[in-house]
Amino acid sequence: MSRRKPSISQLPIVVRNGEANGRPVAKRHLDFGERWSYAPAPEASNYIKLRDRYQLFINGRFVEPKSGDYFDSINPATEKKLAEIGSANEKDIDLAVKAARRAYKNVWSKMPRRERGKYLFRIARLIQEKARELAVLETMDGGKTIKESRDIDLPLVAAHFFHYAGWADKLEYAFPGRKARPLGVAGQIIPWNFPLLMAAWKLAPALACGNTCVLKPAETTSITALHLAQILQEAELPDGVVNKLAAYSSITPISTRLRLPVRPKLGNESRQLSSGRRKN
Amino acid sequence: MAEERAAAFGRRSIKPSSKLEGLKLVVSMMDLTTLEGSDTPGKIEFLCRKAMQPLDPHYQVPSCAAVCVYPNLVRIARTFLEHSSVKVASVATAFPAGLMPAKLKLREVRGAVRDGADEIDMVINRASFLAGEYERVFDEIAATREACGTAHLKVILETGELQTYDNVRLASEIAMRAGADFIKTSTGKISPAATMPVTLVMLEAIRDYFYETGIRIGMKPAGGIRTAKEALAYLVMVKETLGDDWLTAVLFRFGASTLLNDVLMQLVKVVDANYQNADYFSLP
Repeated sequence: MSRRKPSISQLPIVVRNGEANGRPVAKRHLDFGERWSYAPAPEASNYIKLRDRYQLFINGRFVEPKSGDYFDSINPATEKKLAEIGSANEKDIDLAVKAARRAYKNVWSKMPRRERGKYLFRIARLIQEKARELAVLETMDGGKTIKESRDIDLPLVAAHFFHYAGWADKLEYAFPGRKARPLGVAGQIIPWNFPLLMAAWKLAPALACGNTCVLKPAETTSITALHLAQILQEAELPDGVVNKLAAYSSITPISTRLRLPVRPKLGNESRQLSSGRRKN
Repeated sequence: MAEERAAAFGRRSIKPSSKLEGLKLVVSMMDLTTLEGSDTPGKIEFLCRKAMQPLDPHYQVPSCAAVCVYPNLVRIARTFLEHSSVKVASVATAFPAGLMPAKLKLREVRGAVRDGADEIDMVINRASFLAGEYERVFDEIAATREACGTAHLKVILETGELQTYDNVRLASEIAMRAGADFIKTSTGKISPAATMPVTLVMLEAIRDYFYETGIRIGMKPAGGIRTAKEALAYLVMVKETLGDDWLTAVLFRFGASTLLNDVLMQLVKVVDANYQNADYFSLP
């Protein structure tokens, strides 16, 4: 083994981003093999029941997309197909927004706050009951470690629903000096890095305040969101309060007011679309 | 961050067959150490015998990697271990404080090597390091490297006195670049000695040095590791930070004295399915 002549002037303190003292570091390989394998994977995935196809969740029911198009969702660990996801277009979005408006006007915004809270509590409990299954599914669909999905994401998802369920009937104390009131239909786009947790962040507060939602999960991680839709069905949430649309297209307008810009340059597009618009 | 990640390594589940394999690996990586003022030739001979054959042969336990003694006792250990695979390691450079004239320290190193030490465990000059005289620390290590000749050099950072993780990282970098074959956490004379977070910081320094130069530096946590469970957690940490190449006595060592008996006890438990009384194990 040849050793470089050492000198403190060459001493890089930290190697970062593949560079040491500004010089690129040659790629070298560490062998994380099987020399001492101490335990098998702690979670089995063979009991997870996946549907072949996931449709759109509009007005409390799973419905075929108008276009009839489906796209594949893969398990990034194995690159095998998990299921087909229905792809929404403008017509589906119009239906979803109409359903959400209807539910907003007729049911959800008029419902006594305490009743809204009860629904949210019910959803939270159902998520807790199915936490392990959802965690495995989250890992299969999004590729994050089971440790993260099982020990961080899912407990937080349930905790968020519990938290906002508790606020639902106490909104007048939430923002001193201001009156919290329902605003209408919320269009919600969530990314792929925390699929269920982001859904909880968006849905729970909106629902607690009396708004209804049209949510578009990331096309790469739609499955858990659609399983969450199943849970909403089981909780008997009134039809149309939450609608979920997976989509795999470029910019797709929700309506004249709400627009769902979808990949690629998502940030740019949504900024262009939202600039100069009123926000409610 | 380092604390949290290090704590996670202790929570991996280890299946029984892997546990047995892991415990044997721990024994094979052990530098059986005695650094007492009361060390006698008889005690060293006893230690050498135990290092060569830690347990009844039918348990198929490998011998330890090395015995680690004071320079005065190197010759005795060398004579005893002449035909075995167990290496003789000697602490040197005014262990444990390192505060003596540099010339004397180098003489001590040369003497230990001449007496037959295969490995030299030196201490860095913490007083200089904490005063910011990094070049002096670097030069001392480099000079000791020269004095070692063919013997392996382990550099003790004494992390319990370095105060911050950044210091540990910097000291690791200095030691590796100055020619250390191993970096070692502690002398065992200062508390805290080896801890998982500190070891993790050093392992990451080794990893980055490997990425930069392709040179594999060894790691030796020493002092404070007393149970088999902790030792296995260290193995997990090494495996998940540096990978399989480091899971050998060539690149990873435990510096310990009381650890061995606990590992042997757990080993007997895994093989025979019941715990043996501590009286059945020879004194460390």
